[in-house]
Amino acid sequence: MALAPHIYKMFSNIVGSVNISDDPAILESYTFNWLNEFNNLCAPGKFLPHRPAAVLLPGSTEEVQSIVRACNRYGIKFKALSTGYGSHSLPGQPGVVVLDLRRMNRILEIDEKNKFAVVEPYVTWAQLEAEVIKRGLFTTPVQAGSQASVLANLTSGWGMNTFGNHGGHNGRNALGIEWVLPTGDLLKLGPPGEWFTGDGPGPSLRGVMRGHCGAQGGMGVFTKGAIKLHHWPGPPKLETETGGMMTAYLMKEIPEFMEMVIPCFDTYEQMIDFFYQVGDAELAYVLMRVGSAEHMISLMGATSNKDIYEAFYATGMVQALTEQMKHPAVAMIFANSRREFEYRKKVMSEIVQETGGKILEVMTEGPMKELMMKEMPVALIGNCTLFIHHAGGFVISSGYMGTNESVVKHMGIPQEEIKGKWAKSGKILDDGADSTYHNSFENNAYVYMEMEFHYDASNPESVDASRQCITDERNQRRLEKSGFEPNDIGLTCGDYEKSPQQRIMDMGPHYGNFHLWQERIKRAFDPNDVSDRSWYGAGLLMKDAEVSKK
Amino acid sequence: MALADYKKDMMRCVRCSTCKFIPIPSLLKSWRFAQGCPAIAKHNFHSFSASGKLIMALSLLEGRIEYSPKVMEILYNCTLCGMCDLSCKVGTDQELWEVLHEFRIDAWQKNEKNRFAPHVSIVESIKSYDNVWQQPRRKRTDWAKGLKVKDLNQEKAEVLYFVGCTYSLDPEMRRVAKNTAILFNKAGVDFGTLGANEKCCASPAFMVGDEELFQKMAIENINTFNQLGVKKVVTSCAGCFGLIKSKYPRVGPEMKFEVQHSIEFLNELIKEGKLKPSKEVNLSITYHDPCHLGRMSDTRIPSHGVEHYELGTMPIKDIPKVMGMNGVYEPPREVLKSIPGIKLIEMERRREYAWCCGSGGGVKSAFPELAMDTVKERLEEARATGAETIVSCCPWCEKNFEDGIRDSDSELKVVDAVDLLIQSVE
Amino acid sequence: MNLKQEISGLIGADRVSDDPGVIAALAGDMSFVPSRSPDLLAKPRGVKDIQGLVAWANQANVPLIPMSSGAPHSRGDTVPSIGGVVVDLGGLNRILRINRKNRVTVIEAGVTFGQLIPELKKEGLRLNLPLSPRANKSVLASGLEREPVIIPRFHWDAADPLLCMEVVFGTGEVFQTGEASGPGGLEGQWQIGGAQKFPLGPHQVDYHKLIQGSQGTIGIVPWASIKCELYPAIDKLYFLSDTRLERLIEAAYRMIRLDLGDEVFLLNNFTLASLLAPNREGIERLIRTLPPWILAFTVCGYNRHPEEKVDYQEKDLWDLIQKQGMTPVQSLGEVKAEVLLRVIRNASAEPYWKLRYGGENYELFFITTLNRVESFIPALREMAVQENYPASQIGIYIQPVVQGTSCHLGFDFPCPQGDAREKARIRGLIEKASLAFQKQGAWFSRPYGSWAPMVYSQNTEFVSAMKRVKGVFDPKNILNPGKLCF
Repeated sequence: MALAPHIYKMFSNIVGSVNISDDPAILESYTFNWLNEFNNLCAPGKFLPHRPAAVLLPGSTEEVQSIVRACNRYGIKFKALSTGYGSHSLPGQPGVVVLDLRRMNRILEIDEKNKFAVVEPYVTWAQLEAEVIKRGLFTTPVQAGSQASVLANLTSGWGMNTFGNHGGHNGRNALGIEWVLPTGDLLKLGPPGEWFTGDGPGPSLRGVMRGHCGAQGGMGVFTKGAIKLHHWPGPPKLETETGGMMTAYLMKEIPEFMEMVIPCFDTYEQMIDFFYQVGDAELAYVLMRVGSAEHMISLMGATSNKDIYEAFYATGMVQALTEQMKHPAVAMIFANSRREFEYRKKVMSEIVQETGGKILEVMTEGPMKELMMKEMPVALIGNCTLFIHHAGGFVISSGYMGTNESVVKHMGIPQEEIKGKWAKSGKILDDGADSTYHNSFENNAYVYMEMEFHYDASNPESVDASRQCITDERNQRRLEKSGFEPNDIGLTCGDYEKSPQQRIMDMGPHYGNFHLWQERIKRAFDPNDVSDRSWYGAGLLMKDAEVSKK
Repeated sequence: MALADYKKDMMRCVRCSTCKFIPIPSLLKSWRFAQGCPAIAKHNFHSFSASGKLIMALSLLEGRIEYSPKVMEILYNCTLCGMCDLSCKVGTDQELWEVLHEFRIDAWQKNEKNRFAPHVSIVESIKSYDNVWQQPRRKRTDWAKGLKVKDLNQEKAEVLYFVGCTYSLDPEMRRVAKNTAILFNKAGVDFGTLGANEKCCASPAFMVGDEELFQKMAIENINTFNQLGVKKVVTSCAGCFGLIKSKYPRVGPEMKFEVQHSIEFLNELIKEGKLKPSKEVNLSITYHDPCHLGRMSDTRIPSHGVEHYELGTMPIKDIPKVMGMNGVYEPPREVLKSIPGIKLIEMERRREYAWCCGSGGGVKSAFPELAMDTVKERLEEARATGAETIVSCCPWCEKNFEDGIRDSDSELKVVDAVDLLIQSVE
Repeated sequence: MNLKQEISGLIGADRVSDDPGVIAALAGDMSFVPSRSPDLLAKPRGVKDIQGLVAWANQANVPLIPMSSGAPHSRGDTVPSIGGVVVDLGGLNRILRINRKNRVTVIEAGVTFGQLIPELKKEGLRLNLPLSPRANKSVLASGLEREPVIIPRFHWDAADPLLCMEVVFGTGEVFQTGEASGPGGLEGQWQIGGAQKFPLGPHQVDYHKLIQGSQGTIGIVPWASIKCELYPAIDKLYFLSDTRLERLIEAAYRMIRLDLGDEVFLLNNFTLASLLAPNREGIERLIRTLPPWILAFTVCGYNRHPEEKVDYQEKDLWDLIQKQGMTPVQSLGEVKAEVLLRVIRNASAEPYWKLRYGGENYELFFITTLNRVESFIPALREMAVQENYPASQIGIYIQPVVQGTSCHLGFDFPCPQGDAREKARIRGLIEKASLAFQKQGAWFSRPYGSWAPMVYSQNTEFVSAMKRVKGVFDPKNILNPGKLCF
């Protein structure tokens, strides 16, 4: 659906003629994305059904406001994206004007003393990390990758971060935020001109900002934001070199006070116990369970699939490791002093022993351990999203946020039982393990768990098998069996047999009818329904009477 | 061989934006110099990134769009510097650069009417004159007047000095060839040239997608070099070097000679004690890694989508994964460091993740604004080091640096590494 | 049928009062908010009663003023603006769960600090407490008010330690927030390992953040989960003191940055004396023995090698602090560290420490950053002198919050009980200082009483957005009208 010439001209006047396009060659790249093959029920493939009406590249908050106001005046829908990874970055309706925020890419302030940084939408985690590490601070890069937008993770997406056990959940790391509401009005959360807080006066409108899953473009445009930073106990420069066994890059030196342990447990109960004990003792910066030996290797990236296969599979190493690594946890310790370091290592070792953890032989000492110690930080700090795509596709089914105990109980039946059948079909990656990933936050206050599948996005049979596998899993873990509706409190992934809005529509009644409340808020903040709601709530499927029904 | 061979790579793109930046894990040193791709840095629309071009190619293959002036503008607003390819390959086996190149081959064949005039003109020049500068062939020997240089059409030598179109025909650049020959002579190297019979390496044809011309010239050149019986083909032009070393192997005939950039060869001569840099050259410099001496000189054999699966869906490409790690990075640095008085300060983006000068891929001729913006970005990065002079080993880089400096009132000077070496050796 | 009969019909006659004494006590508090009587006091027994009340109030168009803590109230948020029914949740005082494993408790709205602290301790847990809260203060209300807490390291977000909650919105609908949302109810969720720890959501709205700080204008909360921390096996409190506040602020920055120390806060001598001495005389005597500024911090060890944990922290801290030329001590004259430690680990003894000097106390507080604190203090003292208020009688409390990204700066102005003239003088001073400080960048994030119009007049877009929220959750403005911007 093309824009009328006078509307195009109006937008062009706002952003300048070089910063607007409605050429199909431009629009196509805003129609294609990761997970489209799952989220695109009406037209299977990599392209969503609706091309944007135009793409605009605003350069300032003022330009964003002008665009949004114009959209309100003329009833044109808009959707903003920044680095844009995943279907939810794209418009889901016809006639949407896309605001690509790439030109808004400055770090506005780094307040070293008060530990926060203020960024525009297109500042990436890697860029921020590069600047703050010089000042002895560090960030909490999202697992979508350090090429992803910081501000998007604070406001708009739901991605988790590897350093969450020490650095917290990024939904809770946001401070002051500047926000162009769906009406075009500018709302600054927190004190005017200041960034140290985003709460009040009175209630915190961060409440309308993101929730668990992020606004995903359905609630206006976030134009600036402050993120809480943390002390970085490592060196001010991360010197890397080439030549890793599994990664292209590794650290030249292992930071003085850094240790990584990979204890493996026979049972989930033991592993959970480990998480709780480590959480109580506030030991770990990183605390997670990786799904399998394969997953761990893929986390670290690879020189190539060929090398991975030849070095780790053809030799039987992964199979042997998988046998040992039934429930593998990864914990990374940092410390600010030798004394702290020794204490943490001692307690960690004690906990591993008490909880029945077995340290992988290769990780006890020697060159393999050194290599892992040099490679893992690069993988985790650099957090390259592409590592997980080495089979040509990566998808998750249920994503659940809760206590370690509850996420495991939620699983009910072992993941490999569900996944095994499909892995054996040869249509999804047969990594030999359950591929269940846990990430701990705030000293194990809560964890995120997801089940991961590697498939080949270029192969329709593989895509289809993944979808069916996820459906199998969801059917076996539905409410009546597990006590939870898979997907828990609203991740818009999983259950790919339904449209994103239908997933929310079906979940709502199990979760206090949140979908109705959310729709009421949406209508209050976006009276002209212009902020593309395709990935926001379930309003596209609701009738007026339903929304107001008690 | 067809664009469709790479459909899997297109479909596996996750549009994560990694291809826009230098490889992320810990290489990045500042906000300011984080960008990796000149095209997206200038044009901002996602289509200009490598991911965007893969998406555009898939869209064409699926018949969703057709070739248009805009498609061509996007496709050719790219220096083919290969940075995106490295960034993506840090985490995947994806082919990016090969797809971008194959896309150009497809476009050149199928969309003749929208070819860019400067590209057509360069290709015609190669066809008519065997060089890119529309100069008579005889002029190729002008630079060597008064120098002792064997004519390999007449006699044998161990080394063929492949001068390249620009070093032999551009009056301002001839000094590099001359200096190189002087140094070879000082070191007692048994070398010669093909004189007026030297033919363009066909890099411009390769870059714009004229595969037919490239194949023809590459095969001719390989056969000529083989017939000369030389041990080495040495060139001072990074463009020629990158193409001959990295891309000629894909055309077929066995290459019975070693390919070196003259800076590698000079470095060997220094190490062997045949050249002794002794005079002080008091200068603070920074070194720019030319793409085609660096990451793009790592020999690349196109996969054409050939692969098999292991573990069900893990695609294994049957060719080695090339990231650009094996480019020529140390030799120029070693040469520069061997010169007394030289203070080498590195730029943030260097070696395999160096920022492109903006000249390559047919950009300088067809999209001078992109070339200018890109070189200014590099000059700014050089300036930030505090160095007085930027040093390179590529005529295209040097010429673009000169233009950038002129256009920006920069106080930086640009020289070729050989210019400094000769000062120290003489 | 009159109001009392109607409410009695809903929740039972024994749970409704219009006793003049009761009503009079609810008509005003220790703030500058004008007194106004409610019509009734209602004491619901649980969520159903609350729902009934809210539904009725919507029909009858009668305001409801939620209240959970015992008297004395001090910020005007429970004083009716236009009459109505005070909904006292004090009777909902069950501790529904203490869960050591997940470090969390679920409590009803009427559970007080005095009640909860010892119960948690039995289970090896503690709260991240406000500074010696009133014993009869509702823990849940304190969380809803975003009262600053004294362990910055565990204050991950401004919402902490409040996590998930049940709420009856102004429309009468019941909702559970965060991880508490979802099937099973509390007990069902506990059975499968749930613990109501994850506060965000459900889905794309953070309801808890809209309810928190709303002074009861969005919903009434019968229960909530509160984040707990381990009770230390060993804990030591230390003082750093100096005549120059800036040196202590620098020390606080350093220790917070390295996550050394648990409780970390700064006081002036007046506040420290008020916390420790039982009465005015005692406070006056103690002040004379104290340095002007005190940084108090604790070093704790937990269940694993607590001595060693304390030992390394002490050594690291000492290295850090001694670089500044200071030395931590465990006594300041006659003040012993362990005495203050007991005070801050418990609810306040009676009388509440803020009331010990004058019998009444008035507050000025806001959010700023540690490095700006000093720009406010001399200005306030100057204004105090101008208003003839003795600067030496101003209590000052500086609490780093949200892991040190900002801080609460609080001033206490004791006032002789019943002294209307002095109260007026303090009011003038606080209002003048508030205006000046707002201009200076102070963030009145919890706008009680007259701060509301002052702050909201400067944040019109916030008001407009917040009114939209109010329109969703309490469209008829039944809940505590006249507060905030509604």
